[in-house]
This record gives sequence, C-alpha cells and structure tokens, in this order.
Amino acid sequence: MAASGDHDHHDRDLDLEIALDRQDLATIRAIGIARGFRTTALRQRAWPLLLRCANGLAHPAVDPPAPPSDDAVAETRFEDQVRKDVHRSFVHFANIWRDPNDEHGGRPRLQAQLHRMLVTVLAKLPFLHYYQGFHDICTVLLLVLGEHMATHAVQVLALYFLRDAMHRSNDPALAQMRIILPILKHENKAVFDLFQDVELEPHFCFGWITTWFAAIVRSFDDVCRLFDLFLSCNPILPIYVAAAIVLDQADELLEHDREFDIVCASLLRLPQYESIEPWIATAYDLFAKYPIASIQGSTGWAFDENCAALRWDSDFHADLHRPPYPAAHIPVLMHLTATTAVADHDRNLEAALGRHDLAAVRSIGIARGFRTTAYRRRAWPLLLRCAADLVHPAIDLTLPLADDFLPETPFDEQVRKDVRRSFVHFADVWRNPHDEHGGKPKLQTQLYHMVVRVLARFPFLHYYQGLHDICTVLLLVLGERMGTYAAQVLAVYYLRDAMHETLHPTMAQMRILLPILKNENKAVFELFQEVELEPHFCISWITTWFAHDLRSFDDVCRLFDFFLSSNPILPVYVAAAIILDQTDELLEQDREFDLVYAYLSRLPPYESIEHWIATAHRLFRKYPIPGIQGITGWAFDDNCAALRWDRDFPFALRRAPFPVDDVPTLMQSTSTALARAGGDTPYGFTPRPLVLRVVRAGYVPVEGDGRALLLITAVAIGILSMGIGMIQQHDAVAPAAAVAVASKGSAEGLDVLRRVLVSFLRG
Amino acid sequence: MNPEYDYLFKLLLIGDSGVGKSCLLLRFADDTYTESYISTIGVDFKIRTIELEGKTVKLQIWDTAGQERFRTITSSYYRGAHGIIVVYDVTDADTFKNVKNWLQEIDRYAVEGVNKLLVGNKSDLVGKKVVDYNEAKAFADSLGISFLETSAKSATNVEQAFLTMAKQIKDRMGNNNATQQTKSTVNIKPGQPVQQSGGGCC
Repeated sequence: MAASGDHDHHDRDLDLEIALDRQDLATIRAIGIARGFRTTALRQRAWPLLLRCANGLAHPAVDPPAPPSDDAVAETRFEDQVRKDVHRSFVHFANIWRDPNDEHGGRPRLQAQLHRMLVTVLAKLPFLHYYQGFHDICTVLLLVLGEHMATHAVQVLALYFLRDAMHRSNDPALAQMRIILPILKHENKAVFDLFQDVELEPHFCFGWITTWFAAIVRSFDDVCRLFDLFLSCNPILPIYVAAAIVLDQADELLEHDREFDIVCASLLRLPQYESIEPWIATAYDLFAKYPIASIQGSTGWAFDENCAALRWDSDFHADLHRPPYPAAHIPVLMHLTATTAVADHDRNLEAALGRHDLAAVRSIGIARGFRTTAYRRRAWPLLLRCAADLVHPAIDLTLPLADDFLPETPFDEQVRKDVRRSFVHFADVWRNPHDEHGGKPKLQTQLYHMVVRVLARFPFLHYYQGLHDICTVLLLVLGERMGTYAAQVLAVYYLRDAMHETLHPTMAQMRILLPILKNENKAVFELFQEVELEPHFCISWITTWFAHDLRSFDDVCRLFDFFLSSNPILPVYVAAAIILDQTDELLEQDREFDLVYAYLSRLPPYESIEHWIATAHRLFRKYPIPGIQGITGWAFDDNCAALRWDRDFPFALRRAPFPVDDVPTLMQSTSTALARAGGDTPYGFTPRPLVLRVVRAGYVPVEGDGRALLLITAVAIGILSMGIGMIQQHDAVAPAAAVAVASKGSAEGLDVLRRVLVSFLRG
Repeated sequence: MNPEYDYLFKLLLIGDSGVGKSCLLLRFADDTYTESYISTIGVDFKIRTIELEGKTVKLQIWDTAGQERFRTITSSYYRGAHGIIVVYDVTDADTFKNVKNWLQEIDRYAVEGVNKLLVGNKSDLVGKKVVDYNEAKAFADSLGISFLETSAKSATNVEQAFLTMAKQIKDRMGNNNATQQTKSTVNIKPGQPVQQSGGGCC
C-alpha cells in the first residue's frame, strides 16, 4: 500500500519536479494551491523558490543574512518577549522534532536556533514589530528548511507577507480581519446576523491568522499543507481559510445560544475535520469570488493600498526575472499604511468632538484612544463635562484660581510631601531645557495648587496619596486651569470611592478581582487563597490609574483615555487583565505569600498596552459590576461612584449630571453600608444566594449555583404539580386564566432561569 | 527543601510620610540613593541576605505608605513581622511626635515581644535638625528600645540599623528556640531556624 502510494505520488509530482527545475513560479504556485507539495524534500525546494530566497535566483528579494553564529547575537528591543515565547515553543509536533539520540529530545538546541533566527531577523529589520505568534510561523520554517535557509525565508516572509501584522499596533491586522464580515454576509446571512447580534468582532481568529494556523492545527502535515497554500498565494488567504472554517460549522453555530461568550468559545476551538483540503478549496473559491480589492470597500475600513495584501501581486511577481519591490522601501509603505489608519481614526474623532457626541467619543476612547495631546485637550474636558461651554449647573466649578487665593485644607502637609516627591518620572514630557531646574519647581507649585483646590472645593473628600499622581497627568496634558477643573469632576464622579475617610471602600471594590479570577482561571484564584493574598499589591495601580507605576507617559495617557470613557471601576478590570496575562509564570512561582506578592506587584513587561485594555473591556462586559457585587458579598453599595456612574454621568450632554451638592449624602450612605457589613471577610468571599443575585442585572455564575438551581427547580415542579392538581378539581375556566397569568407574568422569570441554566451547563 | 539561608526575618518599616523609609531601604538593599524618590503607595518589599555570627540571615523588609489612611492595609503586615523599625525625620518635629502613635499601632497589631528600633533619619541635614539626639535617645531608653540616627543619603548608620535589628531578633529567637522548634515541624515559620529535615515550603 505504502509503496504503491509513493509511486502514485511520484507520478503526480512529476509536473512539480519539472516546474521546480525550470523555476516556473506560476506553475509551482498553482500546485501549492491545488494540492500542496506533499513531502519535506519537495518543500525544501519549493518554499525557498516561492520566497525567492533560493540560491541562484535572478532577483533575490533580500540580502542573504549573515551566517548565524553563537557569539554574534544581534540585539532587538523585543528580546524579552522573544525569549519568553521561545521558552514556550516546541511543545507540539514532537513527532517531527524529537531526537531520540539527544537526552533532551533536541528541544534546547531547536529553541536556541529559533531564538537566533528571530533575533537575527528582528535586528536586521528594525522597523518590524515582533508579535507573539510570529515565532510559531518561524518554528515551522525552521523544522522544514533548517536554520540557515529558514532565517533567510523568514525575512522575506516578514517583509512581503506578514508585515501588516508587524506594525506597532495591531490595528492594520485587525482591520483586515474584518473582511470576514462581508464574506459571511454574502455566504450565510444567518451567521452574519449572529455575529451582529452578539457584537462579535472577528478577533477570535487573530491567533489562527497571525500564526498561519501553526499555533492551532495539531497535525504538522496539515500545517505544512496550509503553508504550501499561503506561500503560493496572496498573504490575505489565511483570513479566507478562517472564513471557510466559520462557514463550515454554520449549522452548529446557529444552534448555540445567541450569547457572546458561547459563540466566541465555540468559534475559538477549531472544529473536528477529516481532511484539511475542503477548507483550502473553499478558501480559494471565496478568494476568487470576493477579491480583496472589491471586498475592502464593503468593510469601510482603512486597509490601505500600501498594505502587503493589496500590493502582493505587484511586489512579488510570479516572473522571477522581474525584481520584487525593494526591501529598503518597505518602511515607507508601512508608514503610509499606519498613517492612513491614523487619518481615518482622526477624522472620526474630529467629527465626534465637533458634534459633542459623548457616546462616540467614549467608544473611540475605549477602542483606540485619542492619540495626541491636542486631541486629549479637547476630548478629556468633553468627557468630564468641564469644557467651558459644557459646564452644567449641576457641576459647580466656581472657585477662584488666582495665585493669591490659596485655601487651606487639613491635608496640606501631606499634599506638600507628595508634591515634593512628584515629577520624578515622565521627564521627557515635562523637562524644560531652558529652565535651570528643568521646570520642576514651577510644575510642583502648579500641582500643589491643583490638588489643594480640589480638596478645598469639596471638603467632604479626603486626600489620598496617589491623587497627586492622577493630577500630575491632568496637569501635563491639560495645563493648570483646565487640569484643576478636570480633577474636580474626576474626584467627585470617578474617584470618590477612594476618597472616604478610610480606604475600606476601595479595598472592598478591589475584592471583585477574586471572583473574576475564580471564573477566569481557577488555579490563580486558588493560589491567592492558598497564600492568603488580598489584592493589596495593586492598590497603586488602581488608585492612581497606573500613573504611579507605568513609565511610559503615552501609555498612561492611553489608559486615561480608556478610563475617562468608561465606568470608574475599570482600573480594577485592567488589574485583572494584567494578572491573568501572566498566569503561566505566576503559577510557576513558589507558593508563598511573599514571592507571589513580589511577583505580582511589579508590572510585567508588555509590548502594547492595548491588549490589557481589550481584555479589561471584555472582562467588564462578561462580569458586570452589579452581578459581581453580589458574589463578593461586599457592601460596596449602590451609592458608590462605580455603580452610579451611568446615571450620574449620562451619555446625552443635555441631561444633567448628578448634582455635586448631593454627593456627600451618597458617600455617607456608602460608609454606613460598609460599617453595617462589618468590614471585610479576609481571603475569600461569600456569595449571596442565587435568587438574590439573578434578580440583579448581570448574573455572574459561581460554584454551587447548579445545586441551588436544581433545588429551586425541584420545588417549583412540586408547587406546579400541586397547583395543577388543585385546578383540576375546579371548573374549566380557572385553569385557562391561571395559565394566562402565569405565562405572562413569568416570561421574565423563565428567561432568567434559562440564562442561569445555560451558565450552569456551560461551567 | 534546602534553603540557602539559616534564618528568615521579616522587618517592617513604619513612620510618617516623607521621613525616608523607602530611601533607607534602597540604601540598605541596593546601596544607592536618589534625591528624587516617589511616594510609596500601599506596601512594597525588598530582600537582602546578610552574614550574622556565622549564620546566613535573609532579611525581608516591608516598606509601607506613611499616610494614615493606608493603615488599613499596612496594619495587616504587622502581625508577621519579627522586627519593626519606626522612622522619623530629625528635621521635622511632628514626625518625632507621631512616633508615639506608631508605637501604639505596634502594640495593637504586632505580636507580643516583637523587636523594635527607633531611627531618626536625615542626620546629614545638620543645619535643619530640630529633634535633639539626647531627647530621642532618652525617649527610646525609657521604652527600652534601641535608637540610632541615620542618613540614607550619606549611608551613615544604615547598615548598622538593620544589623542591630537582625541581631536582636536572632538573640530572641535563640532564647526561644527550644519552644519554637516543637511548635512547628511542617512549615518553616518565618524567623525560625530552618530545619533541614522539615518538609516545609519556601
């Protein structure tokens, strides 16, 4: 069987052999699309040719890299991330790489090669940004081509195929992924409607596309088959494969509940498949049917003409005698792509700011941020309703700002001490080279004025160390006058939960981290319980909005864009995102309080802050605060800033914000509720009964809900059967009326029951 | 488990805001000093291992925020501490006056018999000094606790302060050794001589 199969393949591979000998790129591509190259030996000949990096080509696409050597490891700013990813590579495909003659199965050697490859390429092409997943693609090339040729191939791949994913931000890559939506709409309207219903952006397949499926397909043969296709085609093809996979499971998808989590979870898993070929065939058909140039228009997206996908045909011609687009000019193309996206973004923001459209400005603040100081100077005062033409009588900002009027507050001494220790970081932003002291004393005076004026205006607010960090950011972006107004609004409507006499309310709120962790990653939660770790380690992240801990002023401002556009509880969700982001390393730590504390209290290195923001936003939607509040069993009552924010600060500017003068009453009730609850229960939480939690908005499941639900159902059935028995003894009119009332009144109840049941079955 | 130290002592730095707790710690743990140091928010800790009378002692030093409202958090760190260093600023009389309050906090939250040390920091600022050495010394003597004036900036007495603390704890542990050892055989409780046979975790 095997012999005859080989023979058969051999015959059919004759055309490939001929094409390879003739360096006939068009035919090789056609074979790569139609059936692939089948064997490693043939791939070792075909892939370098497709990437124009084989020896002796008329126009090599890029210079050959310097031969790898152990002693000359180049440097790249992504070194840290690369090291982490390489450390976790060579987990799958062991049948391919395991070397029985090597004690460690060859893994360390391969990891060293992979590391060298990545570092060499990234150092050589410094305008490309490394992304997690790039290493998965490199792994496949390394295993097929060997280190030397793979290093060469990866450079070509990065420049001409993958560069849209190697911008500073993920935006260009995400923009391209949205072409899935019009494809789905045309092919299967019901699936498209489902996506719209649950507000699902096609981010779920980010990992598929940016790794060319190498991170998710477990069969190395199938991965190589996909690589045959992708190397022979426009670099957009992985997205069409993703579309083919989604369409392939349309029936199952439509059977599921129409909820974001469920749909997303079902899509994240690659479905069972018998052969990879149907997906490839469908993908290529879709690509022919919906060419990118035309489908691009229907996404309404700036996925501009300089991106790799739209330029590929001309940049990387099938005729080997025509030179590829010069590698040296690619940074220019990338710059153009990035700025086009920016221009589009700015246009939208400009329009939203012009209309005073708070909802639109908020959604930009969440999704992308405001990007420049100039925009922030317009957006932040709008969001805080303290721009001159927006001040509503409910927010009273009247306070003389003249230098000679400086009120006294009980916190002056503490503020002075903290101001003296401010302006240590972000020197690149505030240092004034024309000033002997770099401008620091002047800024410190301004900061002092700002903080003291906020405290004097609202004597019911207590200063906390950290407020000065937030005010520093406001001062640097908005200047003293507008910064003071902004700080006043911020203190009353966003930060007041941290400005009680004690820190208890803040600590109470921070405890919602625990149920989030428990539902997202049980192992991490158990670690917290085991070492008795309360989430104190992140208090400075939360109360200073990360201004105390981050060193990049840009990133701090980006977070402020996000926080100003969202519920004031969001910093806690960002903390959750950060903890969850490092679970692997965290669980490797010794399980001791001190070590876990030390590990967590340092912010981990990160490539882009966007990832944390997106995760935080997702977690916030998944675990809304009214729902999670019931789980912590904590008196962080209905009058706290977090739970009132939507009402206090409505979307429509014509609607009045909550009057400042009534805020002290709210705060009083929060303190009272807290005192009544009797402080905190250390190292754990007691969820309220299921019934009390489901009647609130945003049910979040906890362990044990299943049992409670069974009990309730059993009792309900009992009561119902008793009722039916009683009704049967009466005349026929009564049962009809009873059923009508019951069905009308309990529709909502049933819906709640259904949701609980769904969460239970899922969990 | 075979930890690379004989003792693990947990120390706590408390005192008013701005007296230089973090700078003392930075000087002791990293031997550096900076004029521009930011406020501590919450709690933080650093580690330094020292040799003391032929034994390896790992000092885990917790640094706390000075503002009163943070006591909600910091108070929970008193209980696990073997030694507590109360710091005041020799150029700021209020911070010395508040030492009494800090000592009360210790009485309220820390375990009985915890070692205490009073430190007057910023001794290099001779011209601005307002808290007299003898006054502070007399105060410390009256309470039976050791006292030192330090300067994180010039490094004067910083080493000395932490070593004094470590020695006192070690002496106390030595005295209690017999009773302590019987108490725990599984976990290595902080500050207790490490038992090689114990199956503890660290």
